[in-house]
Amino acid sequence: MIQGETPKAGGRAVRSSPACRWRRGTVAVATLVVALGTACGAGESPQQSSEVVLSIGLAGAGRGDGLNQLVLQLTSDSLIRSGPDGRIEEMLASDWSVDPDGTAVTVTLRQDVTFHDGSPLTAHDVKTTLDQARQSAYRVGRDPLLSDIESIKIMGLDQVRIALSRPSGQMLLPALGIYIVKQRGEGESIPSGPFILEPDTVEETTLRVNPNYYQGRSDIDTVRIKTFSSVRNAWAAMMRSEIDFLYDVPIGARQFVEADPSVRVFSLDTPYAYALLFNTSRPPFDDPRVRVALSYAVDRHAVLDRAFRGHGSITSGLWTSHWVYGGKELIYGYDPQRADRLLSEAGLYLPTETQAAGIEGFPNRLRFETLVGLDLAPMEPIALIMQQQLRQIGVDMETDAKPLFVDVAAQLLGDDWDAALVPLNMARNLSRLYAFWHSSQPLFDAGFNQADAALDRLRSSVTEEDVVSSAGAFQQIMFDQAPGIFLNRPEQARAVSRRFIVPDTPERDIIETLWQWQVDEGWSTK
Amino acid sequence: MRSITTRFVMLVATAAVAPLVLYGAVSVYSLRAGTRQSVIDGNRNVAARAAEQIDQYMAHHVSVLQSIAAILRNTELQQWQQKVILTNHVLAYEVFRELTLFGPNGVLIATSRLGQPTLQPPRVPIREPDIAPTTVDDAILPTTAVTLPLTRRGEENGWLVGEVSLEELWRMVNRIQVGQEGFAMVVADGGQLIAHGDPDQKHRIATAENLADHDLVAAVAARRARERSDGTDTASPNNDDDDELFTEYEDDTGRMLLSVAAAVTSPEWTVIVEQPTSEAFGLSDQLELQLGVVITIALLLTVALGYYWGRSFIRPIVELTRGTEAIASGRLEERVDIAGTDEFHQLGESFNSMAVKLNELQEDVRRQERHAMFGRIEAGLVHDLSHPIQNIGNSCRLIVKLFDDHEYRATFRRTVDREFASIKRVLEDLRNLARPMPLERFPVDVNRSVAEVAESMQALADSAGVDLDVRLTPGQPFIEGDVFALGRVYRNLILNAIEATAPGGVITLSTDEHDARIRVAVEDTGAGIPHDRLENIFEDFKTTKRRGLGLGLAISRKIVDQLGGDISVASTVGRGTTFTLEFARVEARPEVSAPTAAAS
Repeated sequence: MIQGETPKAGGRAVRSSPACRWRRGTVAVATLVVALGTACGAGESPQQSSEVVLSIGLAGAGRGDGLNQLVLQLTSDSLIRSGPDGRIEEMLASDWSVDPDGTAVTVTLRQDVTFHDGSPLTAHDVKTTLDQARQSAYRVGRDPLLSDIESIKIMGLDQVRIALSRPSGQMLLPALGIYIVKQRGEGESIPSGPFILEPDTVEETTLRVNPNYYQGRSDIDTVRIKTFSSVRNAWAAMMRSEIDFLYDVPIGARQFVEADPSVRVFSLDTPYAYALLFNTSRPPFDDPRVRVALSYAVDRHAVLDRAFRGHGSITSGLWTSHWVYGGKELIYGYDPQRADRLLSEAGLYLPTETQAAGIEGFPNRLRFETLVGLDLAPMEPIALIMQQQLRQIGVDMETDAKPLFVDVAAQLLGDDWDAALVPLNMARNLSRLYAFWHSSQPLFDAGFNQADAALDRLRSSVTEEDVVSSAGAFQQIMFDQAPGIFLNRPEQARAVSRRFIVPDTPERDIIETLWQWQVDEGWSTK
Repeated sequence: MRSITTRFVMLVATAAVAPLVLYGAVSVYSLRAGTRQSVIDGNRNVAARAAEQIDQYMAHHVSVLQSIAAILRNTELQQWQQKVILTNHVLAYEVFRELTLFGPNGVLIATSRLGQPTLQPPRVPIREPDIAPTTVDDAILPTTAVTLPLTRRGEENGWLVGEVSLEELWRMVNRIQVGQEGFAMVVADGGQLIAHGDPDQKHRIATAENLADHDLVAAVAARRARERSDGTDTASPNNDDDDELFTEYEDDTGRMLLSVAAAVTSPEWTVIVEQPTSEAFGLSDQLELQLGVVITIALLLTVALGYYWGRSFIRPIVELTRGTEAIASGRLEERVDIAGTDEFHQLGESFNSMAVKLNELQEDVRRQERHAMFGRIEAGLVHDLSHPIQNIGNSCRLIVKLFDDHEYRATFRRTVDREFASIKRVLEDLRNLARPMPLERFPVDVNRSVAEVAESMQALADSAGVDLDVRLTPGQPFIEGDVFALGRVYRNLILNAIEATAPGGVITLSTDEHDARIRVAVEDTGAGIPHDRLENIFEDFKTTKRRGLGLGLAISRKIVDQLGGDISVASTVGRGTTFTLEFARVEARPEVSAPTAAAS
């Protein structure tokens, strides 16, 4: 099954939600936002317990996507997943190998996996799923390396061999983090995850425990996912013990939710970064000096404090905890004098008084318009701070505020834009780097092609040394060329009732271990 | 004895227990009232300080808006400059989420927002800063809108509207904690709960719970309304009538809460501080308990000591009472034992000495009585026997001389028989007194027995010159008795009457029946018996006569007692004496009684 589609409930087909169809039309930004690294977690078998129900509250504007994503995570398993450091971790695949020349990947499956209908996982199911994925424009748009797959050959009940058209085996591996499903009839797919989707109800989505889950039966018998019109209502429901798990705690509310003694708040670094993306095909952003100058002109810490209340970090826009970067982080410091100098070197001088008098509005040396998606709460304070800071070096950043997922996303596909304030996926899965930054990919048209050679080299790297070398070169180019002003990587917070014992797994989303949660028998309800 | 114990208990209760209980009650009441008032005042102060802080907090925001307005008013700014000013202030003051400038007609001039402003100009012109109702946004944070009218040269020139985050208000409220379970909350003027310090209660904010019905919210609202109608200054609504602004009530979970309130001046919010009474008055309750325990222990000690000392005080009295009762009942050998050296001991010793003396005196009296009785017996015997013996002796001496006198011999025989009979009677009396003769009880016709005795005594009465009158009740009243013993009783009484009655007097024998009782009365018209001698007239050797042993009436009473009857006497000196016998009536048994009666 392709990530983003809803698995079938109890063997019955379920139509994709309007949100999914809408998202396919706006592949680029939607992909940036929702591609959060969704592999499910592995762990020890949970203890058996009595009837336990976990209620999850989803709220906010993106709850449609969030619901689909959450259901996928809880009902489906992928072949492999990328760990916090980018290393490949086993899921349905127990082993894999890349041919020395990088032109083929062999994947061996676990033999104890069954789908929700009881049928065993076979190499045929994997081939079918991967074939569908590489034929899907949506999937290939997100993971371009899937297009390198030339053929998939079933080597037995539990093994497939993936032949590639180029030596991109190392880069393809993370792209194989696809939910594997069993196809049964037209459009009907059966996943194998720890929970089974019940037929949809009007007010909530219900998942039942998969008693035959190959990693062990969850202690949680039922997961109910309730959607709320606002975070406020979801929070109120949690305070009333109507839900046990608030999926997303807004940054503004975090302090107050954390003060609730009945709730434990978990933080995780989101896999996306807020960035001001330049259209490098249009002047003056075709000049890297201008882009670098503006990168020096923004105080990222100020943005973090104001827009995210300090919950997050400043970032270079890359998932630098990935092993390929070796812990190296290249981030521009705040240096407005240097920015001023670089702009002058690029021929953008501060206007004289006479010139200034002739300029309508703020007297500037550079004026550009930034697309700002107002769907996300931090966007406005980020834009205001950047406006203020850029004014200090004589740059007038005008804003064009509009809905992110519709108008901004559509405009990014064309050339009619100067800059855009967007959340960018940081690519824990390295194959995504290619999708985001290679000029041949259609996610957005920023005209940035300076990293193409490095990405091509990375794509064709056969050994780990090649991968590290290519990734380092790419990282340096991204810093030197500054295709965008990479700002902050916010923290995401989830709140769970202390009725549940949540395994302590730093750097992982607690959703990955939800099936391992246990009820704290000693915890009394409020 | 019980009364002195009761009185002593009352003494202890009055002197010690009652004052102690009264002191305890007053102390507990004072403690409770004092600590309660102290707690209420303390919580009120917390609420009042919070209200003052909120006043200052909101006043500060208004003053910042006024300074922004001053900047916007006093310079000729282009629109982009106004926008920059608004934006810079939004960035500088995190509390302002949005600042929007409206022209005189509500036309948008500039806003800090990137897109369209969310704030609106006032629907009706205002001249004073206005604070809109509070809302809770999607990030669960409370916000309100403050509208500031702008003027230029005294004329209305638009409005500056700011969306103010009340997040700091929440923090302020969160910091207020009274004890462990006492928290503050803030209620907007419409009753909407906008802040609550208790983490468990925050969901009530999210659901926009309305507390307009809360007693204190209603009280504050009523006070504001009253002050508006009175035109009084509302600047310090917490200064008077604060007694209205606290209450106790039971919440939904059954907890009793102490709730106090303070009014915020601007905006017209209400700060309420609530604390479970179990905690608020916990110290008071603990002190009350301790005081109660101390007082109870003191009471128990008082009662115990009172009992101990009271017992040592009452015990000698009880002992003396017992001894006195024993002495009074004739047990003169009884003594009291009172230990110690105090006055009670001395009293006990005196009592014992008195008892010894009484014993000795009694022995003396008895000895004297014995001597007197023996004297009387002796004199009686001498009298009763010497006369017949002397008569017999005289007759014997005469018979020697007059033996041939036939007539005298007859007289001699009569005299000797008579005097021997007298001697025999005296001796029988003595024998009967020492050993009562056995009685045989049969139904006896009283009338018949009385008539027979009267007939036998008629001659004696005649010789004494006394008229013997017999009056019998009609019929045959039977009693259960011994006809011979009854005859002896009748004879004693008639003989006494004859001896006590002067010649010419009358002795009346009568029988009558009343309520199944048969009475026999012997009434004379003699000299009568003095009252002081009537009391022991039936005792042995008591007589009113100058002669005789005085055994007749004593023997008569013994016989009557043996027959189950009663004997009584009534006498008036100078008019006569009446002896009355009373027996229970029984049914006759003709076949038995007739021969018996005939035989008697």
